[in-house]
Amino acid sequence: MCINILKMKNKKAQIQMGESIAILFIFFILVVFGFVFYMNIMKGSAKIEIEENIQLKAIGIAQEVSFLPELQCSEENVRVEDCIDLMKLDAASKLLKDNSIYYYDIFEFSKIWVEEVFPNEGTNGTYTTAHRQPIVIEYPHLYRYHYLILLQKNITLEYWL
Amino acid sequence: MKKRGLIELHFNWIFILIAGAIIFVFFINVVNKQKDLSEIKTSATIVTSLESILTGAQISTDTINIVDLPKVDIGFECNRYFIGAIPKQIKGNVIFAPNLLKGKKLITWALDWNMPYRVTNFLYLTDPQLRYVLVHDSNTQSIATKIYDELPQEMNKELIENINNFKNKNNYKVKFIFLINPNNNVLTKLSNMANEDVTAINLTDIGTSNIIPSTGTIEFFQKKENTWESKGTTYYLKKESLFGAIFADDKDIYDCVMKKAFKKLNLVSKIYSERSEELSTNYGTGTRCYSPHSSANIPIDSMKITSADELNNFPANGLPRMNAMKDYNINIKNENQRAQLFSCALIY
Repeated sequence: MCINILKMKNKKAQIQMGESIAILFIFFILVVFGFVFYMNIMKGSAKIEIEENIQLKAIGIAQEVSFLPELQCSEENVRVEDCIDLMKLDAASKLLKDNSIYYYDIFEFSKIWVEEVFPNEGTNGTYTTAHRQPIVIEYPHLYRYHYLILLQKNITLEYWL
Repeated sequence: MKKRGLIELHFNWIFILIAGAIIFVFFINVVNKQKDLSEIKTSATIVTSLESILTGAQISTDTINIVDLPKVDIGFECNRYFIGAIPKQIKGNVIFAPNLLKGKKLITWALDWNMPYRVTNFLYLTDPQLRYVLVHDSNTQSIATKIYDELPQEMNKELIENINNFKNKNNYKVKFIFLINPNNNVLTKLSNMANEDVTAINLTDIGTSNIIPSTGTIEFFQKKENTWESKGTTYYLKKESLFGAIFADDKDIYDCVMKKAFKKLNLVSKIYSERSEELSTNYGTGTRCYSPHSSANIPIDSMKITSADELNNFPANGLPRMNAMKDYNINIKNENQRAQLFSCALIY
């Protein structure tokens, strides 16, 4: 009788222990699921943020390029907005290559080029996702302006017309 | 039997305790990790925002902006700045700022540095809690007033003639701009401040007129208990770099930032040199427009060579070098006026 009661109590205790462990197991599984779910959401929002930052940077670089004194047109040192001096551009393409380490700090891995849209339409139209900024180009000795688009894509640094 | 029941009861409690502790530690870890992560994220967001602010301030000159920021410490060096543990390169930008900005507001001020063509924008950063004190006497009052008026209104600035009237207002940094000999008495009123938080510059040859000279000497000082300790002498070229010395905390950073400006001057001078050469070739020898462009090439080339030298040696060549650059600047300006007079394409 006594042995029977002892056995029953033992079994009861084992069942209780098993219950507690099962509850803990399920609890931890739920925690892990929650954590994985949370991480996935975080990953998604981080991706969007990174993309936003890249776009912001691209616009920043394009802005910096259009305000570079090495390229910008000026009249008596008064800046002409959205205008590139052709002679400066010619000189800059060599200067930028010779000082690529210095300019890397500004342009990073960007590829920047100008494309003529008027009167002669340009042929480089493949980079449709690039940041496009309309500008004019000045031929200082001829007092002539051509209309161009300044393009910028985060690849490499290069200038051509 | 009773004993066995007691052991069972105790074991249950021990089990609950261990399991509870594990769960507790797990959640503390998650919270700590999240806290660190969000701190890094906040710093990164501020870095990105600050980068956009700096770019914006750089491209729009003669503007003053007051930017609201979360309460973070922003540390500035010559080539990078820090927000928390996150460093960011300043790149080629020319930024004069104190070593540490603590406030919730950031004052940005951008000015063109023209030699005489636009070279770069000088960006000045400060905080309304940072105090700037211009100390003058009756002789230097007009020039002190001129400098005071040129500095942004939003700055925490004041003009003092009698240094004994100076009162400690518990600012975290104080910068003195002496237009007279530096006075040690003022330091007794700032004895509770750390040495590196009290700095000064002395404009030794600023003169007494109400025009800021184009070149001059600047001596940097730092508080050393109750005396001013000289940190060395350097020079400014145009008032924009004088303002840079007001905003920069120490001489080394000022010199380093000026070297960056000279690097940019060298590059821009190369562009203008080639442009003038091409323009003079296009106009042809003997034509009316040939002369201003070919004549301008001499001072532009000198500017190019001198700036390349200053890039490595500033400020070792002293004030005569600054004066020489000022002269090239005037010569180029004159040639540009001549080009304008002859209705030719301008030099800059």
